[in-house]
Amino acid sequence: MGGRRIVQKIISKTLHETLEQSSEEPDPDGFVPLPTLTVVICAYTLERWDDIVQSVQSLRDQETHPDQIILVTDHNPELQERAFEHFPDLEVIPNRERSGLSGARNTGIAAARADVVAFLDDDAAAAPDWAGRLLAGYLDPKVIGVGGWIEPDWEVGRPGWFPTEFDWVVGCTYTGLPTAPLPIRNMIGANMSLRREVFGAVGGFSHDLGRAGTLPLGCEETELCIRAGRHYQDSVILYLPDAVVRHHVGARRGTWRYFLDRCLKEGLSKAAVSRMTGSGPALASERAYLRSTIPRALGRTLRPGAGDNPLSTLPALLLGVTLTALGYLAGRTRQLFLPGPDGPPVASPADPASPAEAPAADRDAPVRAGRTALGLLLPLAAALGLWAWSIQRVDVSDLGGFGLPAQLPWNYWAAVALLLLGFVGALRRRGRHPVWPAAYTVALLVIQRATSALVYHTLLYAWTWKHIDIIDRLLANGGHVELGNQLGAMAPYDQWVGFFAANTALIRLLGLNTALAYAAWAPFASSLVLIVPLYLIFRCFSRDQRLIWTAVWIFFLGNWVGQDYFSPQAFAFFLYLGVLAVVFRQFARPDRSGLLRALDAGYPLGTRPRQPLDRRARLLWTLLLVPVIVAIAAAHQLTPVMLAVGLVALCLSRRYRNLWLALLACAIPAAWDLSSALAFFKLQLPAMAQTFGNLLANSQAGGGTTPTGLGPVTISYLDRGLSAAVALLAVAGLLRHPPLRRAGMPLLLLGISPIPLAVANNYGGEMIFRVYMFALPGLAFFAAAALQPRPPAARLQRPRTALLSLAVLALLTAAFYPSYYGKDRVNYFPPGEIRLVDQLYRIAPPGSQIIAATPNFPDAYRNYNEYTLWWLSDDDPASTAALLANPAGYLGGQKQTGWITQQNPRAFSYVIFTRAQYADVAMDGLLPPGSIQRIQASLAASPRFRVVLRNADGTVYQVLPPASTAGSTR
Amino acid sequence: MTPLARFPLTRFSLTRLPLARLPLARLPLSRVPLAATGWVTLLLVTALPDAAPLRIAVVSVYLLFLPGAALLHPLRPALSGLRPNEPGGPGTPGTPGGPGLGTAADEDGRGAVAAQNLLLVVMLSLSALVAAATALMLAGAFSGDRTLVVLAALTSAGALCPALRPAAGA
Repeated sequence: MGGRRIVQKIISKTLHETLEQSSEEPDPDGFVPLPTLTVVICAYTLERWDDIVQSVQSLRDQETHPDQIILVTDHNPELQERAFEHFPDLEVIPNRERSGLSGARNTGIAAARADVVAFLDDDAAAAPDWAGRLLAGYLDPKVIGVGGWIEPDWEVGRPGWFPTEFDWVVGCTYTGLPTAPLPIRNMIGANMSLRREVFGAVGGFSHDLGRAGTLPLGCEETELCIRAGRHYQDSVILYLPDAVVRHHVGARRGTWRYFLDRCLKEGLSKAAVSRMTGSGPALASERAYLRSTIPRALGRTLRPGAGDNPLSTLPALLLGVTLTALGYLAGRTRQLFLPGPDGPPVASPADPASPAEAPAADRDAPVRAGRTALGLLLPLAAALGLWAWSIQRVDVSDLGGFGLPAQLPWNYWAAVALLLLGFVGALRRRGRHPVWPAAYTVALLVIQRATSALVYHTLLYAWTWKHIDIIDRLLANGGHVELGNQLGAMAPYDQWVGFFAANTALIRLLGLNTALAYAAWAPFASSLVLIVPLYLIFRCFSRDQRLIWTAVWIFFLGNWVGQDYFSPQAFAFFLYLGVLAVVFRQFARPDRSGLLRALDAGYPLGTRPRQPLDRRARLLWTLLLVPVIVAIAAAHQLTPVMLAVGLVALCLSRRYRNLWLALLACAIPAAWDLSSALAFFKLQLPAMAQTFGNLLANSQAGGGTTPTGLGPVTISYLDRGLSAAVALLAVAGLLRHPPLRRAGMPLLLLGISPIPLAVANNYGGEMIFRVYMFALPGLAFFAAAALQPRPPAARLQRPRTALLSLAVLALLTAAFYPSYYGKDRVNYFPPGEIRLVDQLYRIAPPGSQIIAATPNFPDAYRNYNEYTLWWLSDDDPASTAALLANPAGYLGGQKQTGWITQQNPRAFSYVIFTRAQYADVAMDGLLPPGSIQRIQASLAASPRFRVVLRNADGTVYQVLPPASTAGSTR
Repeated sequence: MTPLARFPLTRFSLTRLPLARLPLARLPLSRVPLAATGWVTLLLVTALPDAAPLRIAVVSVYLLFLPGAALLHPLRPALSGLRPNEPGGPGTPGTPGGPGLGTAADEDGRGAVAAQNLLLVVMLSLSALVAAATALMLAGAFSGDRTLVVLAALTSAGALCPALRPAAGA
């Protein structure tokens, strides 16, 4: 930064001096000779003859006469002859290279003899002092090129809609370029010059981008300037706005069509330049242009009373930017299918710490473009097509013990198999562009998790309904939360209200009535957003794309726990992974150096450790993470604890020892727990203290459920098997690659940090599953490592390794589907069941009591603050025994239902049994088998219970008050 | 490494801000569109009918990306690894070819940095939404429009806040 200012000072000082001196008489004592100048004009058509004449005349009229003027004709013999006759004082030569502007310019360069070669367009006329000012810039030896101002000379006048910011479309200087002498990145071809030795050092203009005839693809100047800048590290290209050239702009160029077409082509050219030089330097000034010039132009047009920037330029501004961006995207997309070096841009040659594997790394030999794209795209498209076809006719009305997988047709499984094959195939070549595995991963998530949203026409899973009911309550009462324990078991949802508050605001802003409209897509969406943080985390520990993407797949195949549904957990998990991605990327500290570390960094499957940042940057990153940690603390109970535990565990490694960050991650949730959630802890702390450390009780899954029946039992073995398989693979990976184990120690620590929590608390029978989910990123990474061969790795993945990956992924997939979709008989609610519950809540007056076997029915918690809810499966064994001995008598008792009419004469108790509750009781063993049937039989026979609603999916009984049995009519 | 006591906030003197050289009535024009997005969204929410497709699209895009982008904006140049803006002067066309200014980005492909930026923007936007909605609910003053007002104010503040300079010696 400082160096540039010094250069600027020198240049302006030198300029002042030389401009003064050039107007004086030559003084033998202090005369500084200007370098010699060759001007090259390139012409291709006789139509521009008048412009050419004008151009040449302007050069003849220069105050400082150029030493050599060359006119190059581009493969046009007639023009060549006429120019040769007409301009005896010029060197008129034909283009000896490929047809096009680049070839013509290169021919001119070859014929030049002076120190400086300047280029002038054939439809441009130079101001009289142009040459002098240009040459004055070269007095500083640091300057390798000088460009000037290009004034548009509109043939028919500037159109009203044409903004000055887009004058580059017609090849002129645009608003946004500086108005004072300044170093710049590249020059515009109509008014540019370079030292002749530069061409000798870096070569001439590139042919790959050049201009042929009237088709402007352009940007060869940009590419050349970037090339020159890379070669001459300390030099500058100077921009002198005083060296003016007037560029003739024909009537055709002032049309909308030309404007839009040029913008599109410019985008394509920039994509081509990015490919050749890397998008960093190629787009640096374009980014500045988009970030400041265009918004400033927009601001100016919208300001009232804008004089020279009327509102009519607004469409052109917006369309111009859009089309250029589209052209760029189209160009880049097209490049994905082209052979050649992919991945990170060409490294700067001056980088001393270039990774040692650069020369050893295999540059993939160029493959035939068509075959590559087709080979990768075909399985993907075919898999998605098969999947879309297969889910058209899936019958979910009678799911059995194995849930959805038993109902999925053969073409679904064919799609899955095809996707697996395609993915493993996409990873065969190491250097392939990561967009392909990414596309396959997205397709995996579509096939895995978007299926439920499309196959089930009602919302799946009772807990999703519960969350929707919470949001409905907040929508109805205007966002009033109860921080005390008035709501009983539902109180924690108000005490950690972040997720529900955000959704309430969203629904209000969107103008929807309820979250039902989008909640079905939550599994797909919440898994989709995990791709980016997982990729970033894994990338911190490996440079091998095969390993990274295999790890991502193992994560998604291993994540069977189904915590991706519309819930605070899914949201908080995304933020948790995001925080970790930032921590691993930005919060590295200097590590022990030594031979072992260096070897580990060079390991092909590993990567160099992240560079540590200075204290100020780290503080700013911490500041940036604070709102995210606050959001996690406000949204979920468990995730902030997992985050704190993870960050504390990371402090055990030297590389990620960030004590302040860990402290912050502990303090913020603690503050939340002591404020908003205080009532919860006051109530629960004694119970929590009692169960703390009880490993058996806390690690028991499912809170009292026992899988019953062939399907559920098989599924429970499968999901346990899946978890065990991932864990075993992780151990295998740790053993197979010791360098990865050492270098990936932070990730390993993160992976095992949740495990102690299994001892701490039961979390409603869920803890063991959550621990697995939070450990899964770490486990997936090392599990993927187990599938990679020990280096040296071949250029093409050996068939044996590919087959191993395929087999393992296929096994994981086979175990995933029953584990994830196997319980859908319990989770799916047919429309009839929803209608029944809807009717129940219409007829039940507020203050009533709703009794059911389990809460597993849709909309169970509607208006939960107005009803008393009683789930029979929650009772202790003694009560359950009493219930089953005499259901009607037990339920009719004073303590159970008698109290309600005394409290509120208009309220009643209702007992509801639905199909899903039957399934829940049968498959999860919450009550002894046949319990509901027995209760129903008893209720039907009793005069105290009257059927008020009945359909194919369930029955609702109203409990009549004791006094009315005498006069009841059945 | 500078000790915490000499944290550059004290070096962050107002006279170095480009803002100080302009009359106070002038806003940094290039940042006005970003600052205005929240208010435009609010306008659309009040003007369009419920569940109109345009309203859904605009609100979704705004809530997912813009508060995060605005919050990130002042810190962008100072966080190594993100491309810094050129300070001072109208849009300068870029620096001459040479090594990039972010030391932490050396092994990164541009894809990873772009992915990280996207992740940051989405995370911060969602966190802002959660924080705003929760704060309003806890204060007993919740409504959808008020949440949007808070977010729009946050977006404007972040967009108009002058960018922190990159660390000295970068």
